[in-house]
Amino acid sequence: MTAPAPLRKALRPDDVEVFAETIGHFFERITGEKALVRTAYLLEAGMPLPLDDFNGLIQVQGDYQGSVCFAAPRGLLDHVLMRMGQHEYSDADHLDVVGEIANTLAGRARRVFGEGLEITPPQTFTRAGKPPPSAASSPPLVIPFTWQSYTAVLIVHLDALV
Amino acid sequence: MNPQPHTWLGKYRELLAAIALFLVLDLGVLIFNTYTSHLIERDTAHINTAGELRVYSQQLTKALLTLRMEMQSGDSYQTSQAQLSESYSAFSTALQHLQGLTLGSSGPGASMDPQSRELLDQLVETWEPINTGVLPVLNAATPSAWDVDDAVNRAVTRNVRLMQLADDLTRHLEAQAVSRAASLRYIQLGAIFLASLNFFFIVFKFIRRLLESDRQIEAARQETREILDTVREGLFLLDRDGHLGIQQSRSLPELFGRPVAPGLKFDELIAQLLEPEQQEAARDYIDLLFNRKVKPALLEELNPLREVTLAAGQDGRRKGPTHLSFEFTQVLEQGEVRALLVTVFDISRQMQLARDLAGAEARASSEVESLLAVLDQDPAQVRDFLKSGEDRLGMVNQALQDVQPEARAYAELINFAFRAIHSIKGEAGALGLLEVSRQAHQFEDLLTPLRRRQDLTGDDLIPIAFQVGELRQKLAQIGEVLAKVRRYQEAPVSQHPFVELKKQIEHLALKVAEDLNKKVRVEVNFPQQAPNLDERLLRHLHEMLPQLVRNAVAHGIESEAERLQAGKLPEGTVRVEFATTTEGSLSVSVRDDGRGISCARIRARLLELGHPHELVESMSERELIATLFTPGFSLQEEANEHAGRGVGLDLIRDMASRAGARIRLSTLPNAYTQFTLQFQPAS
Repeated sequence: MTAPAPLRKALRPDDVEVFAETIGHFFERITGEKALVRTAYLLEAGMPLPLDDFNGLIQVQGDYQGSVCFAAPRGLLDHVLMRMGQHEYSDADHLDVVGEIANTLAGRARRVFGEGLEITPPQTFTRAGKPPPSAASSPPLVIPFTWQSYTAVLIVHLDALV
Repeated sequence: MNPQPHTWLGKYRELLAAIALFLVLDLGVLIFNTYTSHLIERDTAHINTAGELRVYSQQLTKALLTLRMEMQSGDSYQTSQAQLSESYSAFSTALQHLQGLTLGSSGPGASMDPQSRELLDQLVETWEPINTGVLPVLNAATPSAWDVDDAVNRAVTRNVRLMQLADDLTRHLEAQAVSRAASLRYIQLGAIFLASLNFFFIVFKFIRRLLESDRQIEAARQETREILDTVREGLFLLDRDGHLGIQQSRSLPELFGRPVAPGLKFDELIAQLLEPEQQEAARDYIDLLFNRKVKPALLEELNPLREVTLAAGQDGRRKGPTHLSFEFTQVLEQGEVRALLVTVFDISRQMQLARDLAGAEARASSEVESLLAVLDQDPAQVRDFLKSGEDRLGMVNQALQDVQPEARAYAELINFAFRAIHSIKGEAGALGLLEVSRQAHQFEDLLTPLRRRQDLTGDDLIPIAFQVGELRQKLAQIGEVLAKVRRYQEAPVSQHPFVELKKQIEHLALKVAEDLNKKVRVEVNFPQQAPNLDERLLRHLHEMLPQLVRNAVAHGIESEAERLQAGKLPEGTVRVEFATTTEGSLSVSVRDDGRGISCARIRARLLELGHPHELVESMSERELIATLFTPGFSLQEEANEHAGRGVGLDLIRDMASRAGARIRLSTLPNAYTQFTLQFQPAS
């Protein structure tokens, strides 16, 4: 006989909207222009994660488990760096930006979901890098954002455990 | 905390002592000044009196000379006589006054120094002959010329001396007065200096104390502020008039979703948050809290604001928490409730979790029923429904992925999704899949208001993606149930009642042998023709056989080394035989080729356990073997997972008794042990 599976409840839309708002406000704060949610969809089984040139990811344990990842193209991050007053756009700078966004997501997650949540420091990687495996089993929710002509993606892959 | 009325006295004791000293010094200076003024006044009077003596002596001598001249010239001398009398009287009075200083301790003379006293004595001595000479002149109405001459001679010869002495006394008294005034001035200055020092001490102490108090107050204020700024709970004081205090935690406006000004009426605060009945209950409760006579434990029970659901705003939404919990603590002062410390907790999350849990439990129960309902349907139809439902949801998810960021495209997507979900709902309803139908209905509830909106944005699609996932999950659950049913239907069913039992016995024997580090082979033989057994008998077998097999491996079969030493194969054998008779009786034997049962060993064990030696020695073999079936007896000294607790054979005997079976035991030391269960046919 196998051990009973923990009672699992789906992540609520409110929980995810918190992350979406965080991304929107981050862009508004840094660039003066809000990043807008284009849509939201479930990643079909077997499909690869829609990662981009630069990716910042946090892993979560506790009442919720899984990961939250922000992926953005180089061009978008160039603009962000420019608005931040930087003149050099190295890969390290781009990774810093996605890391900063992931860090903001972590802070927001801690505030919303409570101190019981264990969140890893942000991990950043380029397109060539490999994301760590997620502990969540439900399908990832993908939220594409538009900022000017660019598209960035927030991937929320979390299970909520009661 | 109990008030300590004398604490302030202790705190300001030094200050009070200094002030008291200051007052004492001031009073001392005042008294001293008064006394000094008196002394100066007295000294002045003495100096004047001493100076007058000189004048009166001169006047007296002059009057005597005038009297003698007028008597010699035969003129009237009454005037001279009167002047003489006046001078004499004034001199005598002045002299007596000065002399009086030396007589009584209360008089001024008490303070006269020796030198002054000596000068005064000389003065009196010089005056005395004059006094003796003048008195007959004054006492006679017509003084004789001899008396007058005698008086004149005495006065003239002593007048200069008398005036000199009066001058000396005057100067001496003046010098003494000056010296005393100087001393008094020094003392006065000293006292003023001390009083000033004391004053500065008071000022310094007072200011330092004030600064220290200010610092402590500021530190306390800062600490309180930090606590109030940091604490997540809402904290404030509520006075008897129902006003909020000045000190409040920063989280308060966030918790109430509105600004909370100090001094605000609590009634006003809750008016926008609670329903009228709750407001009334809260007011009554707060009145009760200010009543000292009501027990605090009872008050906690009565708190109507322990779990408060906050009323939504006009737009049906609420900013901030949805549920709050209020905790009231009485602030006592001298036994009276002065105020209430109100702690406000945001329990939205807990309430949400509780609701989710309750909902999950209800859903789980409902889901079981719903899933079981699938079994009533045609599997092919259900499979078709699941396929089409999954396809539709896939298309909705694809549409979500491909949608362009335009309000019109969003609106088309919503309509498309609505049609797809409605179809799923209808089909699910027709198939009696209530859980799917309910989930689809919930999805429709989400989509319906969105269909009416013209200002859709990408944010509105996030809950839709969630609902796609939820509905997919419901379909997947039904799919899993169907798959399990299919597997169950396809699984081969054992026709023989002993097949399953055989598997269990083999598994158990090998497991026990492995745990005890023994080698064992299990042989289970049963007739190919399945006997006609009732379920009760089969259940008894399922209970008893594992016990006998466990015993055979644990007690009967020796360890590998022991078997080799005894000349046996290292691997022991446990054989289980089922035999039936034509009458319908069943016999089951469990035989092991182990060490057998040694009566000598049972006897030794009984002695080890403290049974009386005579009794044990007198026991027959049959009686010794019977002890194996007594509760708590085991040949094994230490218990392990499989043996040693003395319950195995005892349990089998009970089971056999309940099953109406007989037990037979045959054994040969170092050869075998066999238990046989004989079941009678069912009547």
